[in-house]
Amino acid sequence: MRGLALALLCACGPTSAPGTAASDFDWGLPDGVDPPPVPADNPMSVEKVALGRALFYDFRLSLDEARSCGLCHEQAKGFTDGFPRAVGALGDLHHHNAQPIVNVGYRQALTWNNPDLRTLEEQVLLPLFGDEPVEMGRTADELEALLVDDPALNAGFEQAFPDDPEPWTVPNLARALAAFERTLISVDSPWDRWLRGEGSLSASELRGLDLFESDRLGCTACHSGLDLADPPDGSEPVYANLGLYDLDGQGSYPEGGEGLLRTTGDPADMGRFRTPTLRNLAWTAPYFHDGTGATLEDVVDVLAAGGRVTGSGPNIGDGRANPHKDPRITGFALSPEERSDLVAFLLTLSDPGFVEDPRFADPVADDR
Amino acid sequence: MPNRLLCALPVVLLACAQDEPAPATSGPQDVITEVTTSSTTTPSTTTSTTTTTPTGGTTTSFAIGPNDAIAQAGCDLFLGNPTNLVAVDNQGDAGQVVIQPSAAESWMVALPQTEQGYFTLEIGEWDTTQAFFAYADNSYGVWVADGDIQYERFLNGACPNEGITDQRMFFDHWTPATIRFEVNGPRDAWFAVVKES
Repeated sequence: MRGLALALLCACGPTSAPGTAASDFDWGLPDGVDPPPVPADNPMSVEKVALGRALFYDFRLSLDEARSCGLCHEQAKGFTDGFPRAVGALGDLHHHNAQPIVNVGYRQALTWNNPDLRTLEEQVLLPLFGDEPVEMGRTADELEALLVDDPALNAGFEQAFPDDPEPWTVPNLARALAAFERTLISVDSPWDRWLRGEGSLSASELRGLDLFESDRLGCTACHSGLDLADPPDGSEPVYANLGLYDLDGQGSYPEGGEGLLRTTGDPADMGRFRTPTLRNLAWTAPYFHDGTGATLEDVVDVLAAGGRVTGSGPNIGDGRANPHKDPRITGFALSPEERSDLVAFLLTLSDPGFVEDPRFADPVADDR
Repeated sequence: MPNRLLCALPVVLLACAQDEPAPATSGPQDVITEVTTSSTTTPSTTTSTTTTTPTGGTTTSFAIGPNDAIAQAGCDLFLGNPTNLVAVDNQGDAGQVVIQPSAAESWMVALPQTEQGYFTLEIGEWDTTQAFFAYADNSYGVWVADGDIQYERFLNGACPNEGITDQRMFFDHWTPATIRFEVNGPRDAWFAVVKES
């Protein structure tokens, strides 16, 4: 069992992608875990990560100066916010659940429904400047003025980008944030330790692992690799319609939450969302792309049923019959004991050290 | 700190509600107005009382609350056009129906044909007091991760004859809250939440 799990983990583990920068940056990773690929134009450095960390927790990056990246991606919550749907700086209610920022340096594609966003340097611009919906609400000019005017930030940029004569720019801000986010690596859960032969899992957790890896449940078809968010062969991530809704008998999802369709315009992409990581589930509830899975048990029940039937409220419909549902979401029989075992295993993917690691915490929290 | 801010937990509420005097400037006035409901469920307050009527219903009495700008905002919303909202019939699905506090919008919540209706309120700020307005005939609860929040519920002091209540709740952290309406009053339950501070 451990061999199979390890194979699944390593099959799409990190590799040195072409065009990435070699670095002597100390990632602090356990033996056997490679660092994520790093873009050639944004090599890692201690100074850049420190700057990125400071920016990540800087409230001035938002229009109301009351919101930082680290607020909506709170370390204690596995770098999520605990809401069903995220809330922007102007109070905008987003259509999606805030994704956990964990192991994102290993991801091939970021965000719930945009496969074209491939790098963290590109992605961080979305919450900073996006207006549908507004997240941070700043303009590039405002941020550059902040970077230039603040002596501490100014010095931080000079240290992080020593070869750049005018380093206090938005592209460099994105590079620094991305560098910090690449360090948010969680590979020390009980499951990881068990894989490395350093710890044990309970009988229930091992039975849950068996179920997770079984053909009957088929979880690993989408949830494999270091981040448990990719197919086992390391190919492109899956954008799956789980059959959560069918508002009109034709597969419609609630407005604004139509998934990949909103990026591609292809009706067949209705309700398709990127497979999320299974890391740190203990702290990242609620689940699903719109936070409508309140508990892990709820999520397991939906997948076991082959989709969700909503019998009340504004979204009445039988998601199981959604014509766009992923063909792998066929449902499976699960006894109450098996359900408990599966959830027990899923919780072994949570890494307590990650959510308490001082390297990832707000550097000035104690001063506030 | 107003006494209502001290009562973050039900157990604490009981102690606070009995021991804390009403605020001198914005607390309840000494006028008791009675409204009739059709259930035995009442809010947990010290300023409301419930008695059984000859017809089997109950009479809930609320003290009249503060007549301030926030209470007036609740009255203004009550006189406006509410947005329709459909509640779900189980807590697990509450995340499918999400609203936020608003000084510009109230809701007419269609309750399901079951005992309770649910939806989610996302409070996206820290250290805020939110004013909840609802028909006095409807009982509701506010649930966060730590459990039910209970504060005193008053008749809206800015428009006490409209039959709507005013309940101020303090939230020290941003949080989703599950709103649970008991189906003991009108099936279409008017509801509004306005940030006080």
